[in-house]
Amino acid sequence: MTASRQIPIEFPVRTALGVDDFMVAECNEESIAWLDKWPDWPMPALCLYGPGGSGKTHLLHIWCETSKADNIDGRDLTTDIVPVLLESGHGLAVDNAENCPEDSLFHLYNLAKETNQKLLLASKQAPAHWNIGLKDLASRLRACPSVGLRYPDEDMLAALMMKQFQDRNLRLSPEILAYVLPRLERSFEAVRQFVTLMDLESLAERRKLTVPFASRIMDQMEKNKDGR
Amino acid sequence: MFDEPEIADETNVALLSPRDSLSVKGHEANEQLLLDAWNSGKLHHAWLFTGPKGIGKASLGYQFARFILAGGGEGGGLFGDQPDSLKISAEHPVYRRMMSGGHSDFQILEKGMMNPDTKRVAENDIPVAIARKAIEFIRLTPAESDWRVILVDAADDLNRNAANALLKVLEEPPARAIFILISHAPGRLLPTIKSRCRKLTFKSIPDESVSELLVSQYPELGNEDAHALARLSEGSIGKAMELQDNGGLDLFRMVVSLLSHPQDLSLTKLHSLADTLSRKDAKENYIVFRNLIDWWFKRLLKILAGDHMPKPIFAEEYMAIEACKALMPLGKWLEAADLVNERLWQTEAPSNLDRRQVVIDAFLTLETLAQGR
Amino acid sequence: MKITIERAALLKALNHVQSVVERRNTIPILSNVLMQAQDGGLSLTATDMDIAIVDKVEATVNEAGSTTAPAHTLYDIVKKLPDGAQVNLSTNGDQLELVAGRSQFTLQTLPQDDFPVMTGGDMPTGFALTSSEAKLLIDKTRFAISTEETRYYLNGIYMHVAEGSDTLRAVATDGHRLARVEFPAPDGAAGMPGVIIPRKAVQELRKLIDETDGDISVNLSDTKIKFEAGATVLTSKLIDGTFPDYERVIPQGNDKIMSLDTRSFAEAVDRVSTIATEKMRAVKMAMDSGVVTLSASSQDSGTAVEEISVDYANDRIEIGFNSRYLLDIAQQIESGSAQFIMADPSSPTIVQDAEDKSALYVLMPMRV
Repeated sequence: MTASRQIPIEFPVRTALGVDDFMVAECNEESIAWLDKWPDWPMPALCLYGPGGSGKTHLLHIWCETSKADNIDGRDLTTDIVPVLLESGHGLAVDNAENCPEDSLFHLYNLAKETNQKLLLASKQAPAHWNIGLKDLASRLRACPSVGLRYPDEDMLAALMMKQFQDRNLRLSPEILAYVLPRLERSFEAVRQFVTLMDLESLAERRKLTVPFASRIMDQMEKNKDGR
Repeated sequence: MFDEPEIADETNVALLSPRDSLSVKGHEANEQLLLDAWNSGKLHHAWLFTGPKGIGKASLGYQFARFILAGGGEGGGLFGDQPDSLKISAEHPVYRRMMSGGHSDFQILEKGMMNPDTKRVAENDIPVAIARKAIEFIRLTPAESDWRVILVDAADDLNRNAANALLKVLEEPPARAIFILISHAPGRLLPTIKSRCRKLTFKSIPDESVSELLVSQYPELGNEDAHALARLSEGSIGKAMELQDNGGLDLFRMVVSLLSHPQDLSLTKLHSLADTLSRKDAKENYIVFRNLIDWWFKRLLKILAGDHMPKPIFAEEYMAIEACKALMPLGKWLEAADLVNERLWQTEAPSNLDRRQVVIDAFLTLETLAQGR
Repeated sequence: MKITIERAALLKALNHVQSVVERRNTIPILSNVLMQAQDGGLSLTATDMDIAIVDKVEATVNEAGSTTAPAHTLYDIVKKLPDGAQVNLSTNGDQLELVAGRSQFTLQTLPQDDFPVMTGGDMPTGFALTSSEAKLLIDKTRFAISTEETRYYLNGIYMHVAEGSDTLRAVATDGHRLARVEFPAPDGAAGMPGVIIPRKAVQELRKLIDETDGDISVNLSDTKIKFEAGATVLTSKLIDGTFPDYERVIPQGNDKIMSLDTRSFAEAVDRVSTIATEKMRAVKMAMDSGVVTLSASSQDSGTAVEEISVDYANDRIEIGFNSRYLLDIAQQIESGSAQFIMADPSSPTIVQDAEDKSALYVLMPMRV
């Protein structure tokens, strides 16, 4: 039997999603500015795109709070529920919009325009890269402003890491931060993975969060990547 | 005047223990700042009081702690006005219980506490085991007040691990928990701790200013006396005023006079001193006198140990120091200081001896020692 | 204060309260017990500032009053007095005089006003638990309380009324196992704030329950909790933290059910794990039709294998567990029969007493 490892319970993490919890940094300043401008948007839709963990969902939540709009995942959009979704008159946020069935999205866009409501479409990539078959939809979306959430700079990474640690009721020591930042891949996903592993592994092994421990976690992340 | 507080042990260098001082004079600006912070409803959770030692930082720290634990004190009006002062009277239950160590929502961290791991007193620093107890304390809800207060006197005494442990809760404090950190040398504190705290600077007032303030407060006070008091209070206007209110300078003069010939005490002078202190209304004066003796012995010992000679309070004091230096070596003076201080505390429980008797006895003990018997 | 009290009653009360008083306290007032005499009785209070215990004893009160005196010394004195002695206590200045027969003692006292006040305050929620309900809440969950200081919010039992239901629940977890017990919420519990009762308070409460058969009355706010059993009142601070959303980690769709005889299972696990020397003592459970094969191995000591018959008719599955955890949970199962409800080797497993569904245990496996 090789070294056995206790698997820990994965408690759900209460991610703080309030407007005060969102960290504004250069890489997302533009998107914040656009959201602040609502309802003063030139077109019926605003497209927000960026990699996983970039804060799109958080921004969506904030906008929904402000606008009182509902929130739906792109996969769940169907043509018949479009009228229902826009019933309230507050607009609609669509997460993973690139997964919407094209005709449903087209229908949604048109109805929003008719009823003077705004749509916030969030996706991993800009609509220009969605490979849209329906030409009319493609042209409409092309005309809408789209804002990218850029890859984070070091300050943003640090702030994100701190926040995610805090969400899990853990403490990020300056030593660990200083050690990890230069070594971690510059992506929101990498931060998320690192924090999740730190939490679960330390719980599993009942270990304190130290630099050597963080180093082990990073090694593990490397191995996982290669394994894929 | 004040209720005589019960102090279990005595390690104060200051003329009055910070825990006792009911009101802290000389730092009104800082007091107002704290009051404003409280009244704003957004009180920051960690405060760092910095400045030279002995000028009243810890005193204001305790006062603020009392104020918070009393839910904003008594300064407000009947109609829910905001408090206009940090003062809490000695009669207030919070005051008593903080003094006795029996307030369940207050935790002090300082040198000389019992280390729960080693079961020994940590004389020289604040070890991590004690910091951990404070953290466990802050992780529990308050039992009496709406708030919890931790006072660290002084943050400079936290050892490396204790500082790191404390940093954890400074970064993620629970709601309604306040940390008050006292520091005499903030340059040496962990920058991460400093960054979490709002800083409150305390300045010691130059002797010149203290004596000026004294003369303005006490018009009957002569310039020379005012200067002597300023030097005696080491830059703290609060202490200077407390001394003046309790005849401290006269007492000090009598003491110096006696200590100019410790091996051959003037009995007249001794009895005169004892009489002064044994009067019914002299309870407070006695405490000031006892603290002065303690302070002066420490001053003498430092000089004997090689410290340079500080500015004398007045000429006779300088001569008394010289006389004592010539009489006995450091070791003997250490012994003498202990004996005298011990005797002077016998006015408290359990001995409860008469003040007069205690004063005479203390000095006669010194004389015996000085005579080499 | 001037009272006369029976030695046995006084001794019992002192014994009760002094367990909370820390020995070698540097804070004098905390080494003392608060004595308050009035209305035909004496109240004794002791505290360590996290917990306070008050015991009321019958006494003849000649003069009401209060004071505080050293708890352990007082206890030692009363213990050494002869059986059936009548103890006279009176205050004289700042001393307490104790006279019993021809023995006389004086103890140094400290004023009542110096003594901590923990027992006051508004506690808007109140309900009663039967002695067996209270025992259930603690006995079924206590073993799973975490001792890790990083996750301080797990260092106690989370007591609350389950959302959308009418049950009172106690939950404890240390991140590897979770214990949940529930029963219909007593009157008055509805709407109560969820509270995390610190481990120390749980210990003291358990001792208290042992001494009484009657109901335990519970009062609480979001900062304090109070338990009353007989003539004793236990008040405690609470852990100021947020308990994790445990419901989301209790699996709903586990479909591989195994029933087994608790005792023979535990004995087999115990035997097999003798061989494991790694810190974690992993035991592999291989479930097959009607049988489970327990195995363990270590590089130094060798291997161990044992088969036991079980009630299992699902797919073959192999899961590893910490042997200590298996034994702990087996001990929790009072009836002869335990149920394991599993999914796969890396998912949480549910364990229950086949005959008592009030308690539910979640056990995380080990990767072996």
